Amino acid sequence: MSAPSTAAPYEAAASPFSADEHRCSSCGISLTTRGSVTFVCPSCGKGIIGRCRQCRDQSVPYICRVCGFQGP
Amino acid sequence: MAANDIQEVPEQKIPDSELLVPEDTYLTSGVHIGTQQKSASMRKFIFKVRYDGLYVLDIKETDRRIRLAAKFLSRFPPEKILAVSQRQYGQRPARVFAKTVGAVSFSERFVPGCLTNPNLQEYFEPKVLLVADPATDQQALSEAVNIGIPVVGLCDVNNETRNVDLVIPANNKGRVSLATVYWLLTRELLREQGKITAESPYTLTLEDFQAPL
Repeated sequence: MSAPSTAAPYEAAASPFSADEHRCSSCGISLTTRGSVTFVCPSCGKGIIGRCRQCRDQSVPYICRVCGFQGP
Repeated sequence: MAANDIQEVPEQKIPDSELLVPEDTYLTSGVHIGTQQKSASMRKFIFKVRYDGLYVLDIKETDRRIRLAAKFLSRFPPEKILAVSQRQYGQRPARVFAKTVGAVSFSERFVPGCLTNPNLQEYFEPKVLLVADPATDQQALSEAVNIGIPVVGLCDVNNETRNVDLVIPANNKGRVSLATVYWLLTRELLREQGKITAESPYTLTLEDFQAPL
């Protein structure tokens, strides 16, 4: 059994990601560029939302895979 | 865009039990009043067009987004929340919000480099940014993008939502409207943090958040 995570909720994005969580939730591009952001879903707090710089700049909607919340 | 491409929706009374405050409080504060111009990104938050061409925001959605924003902000340490407002009527609400929840506010001039230049005296590393108006607080918004932190923004009908990660649709121009939104946001955030209990109720009033005339 693995030890429970001691990371703060907002640091969930900094914890080891699966391959999908390194990607933009809107366009699927790898989040390597400056200006991209990852944060936990505002609604459920479980899903990880990734947004690349272009999608943030163009306000492309994102959808949480866990709860279906649509932002921004 | 033409004003008539948004359909007229019949008035419907929302039960007060579903809202954070009675619907009349929202209406008298003017939280729902938009502008005569609309942006494409804010179209989904528009309830109807008034006879004089003003776009009216959906109060139910505003209410839901305030709850969501409070829930979202509560996941960050309060001292790492940065509230920015360059708008005159938003400065006092942002200051009171920050003071109450233990956050940091830059409510006067935002010195460029505050978030990106460690040599500045005002340098601060927040985890999340709350802006009163994405157009007015453009400098803070672009610095938040550069350092890669999420942005929560109060957006009016005419605002572009670019670089905003969570929109709170509300009138961000009115004195009472701004006070109402920040008052509710503070209350919900404290409630999420478990700081409002029977022993320590929420005592701040709407007047505490209102900027002087």
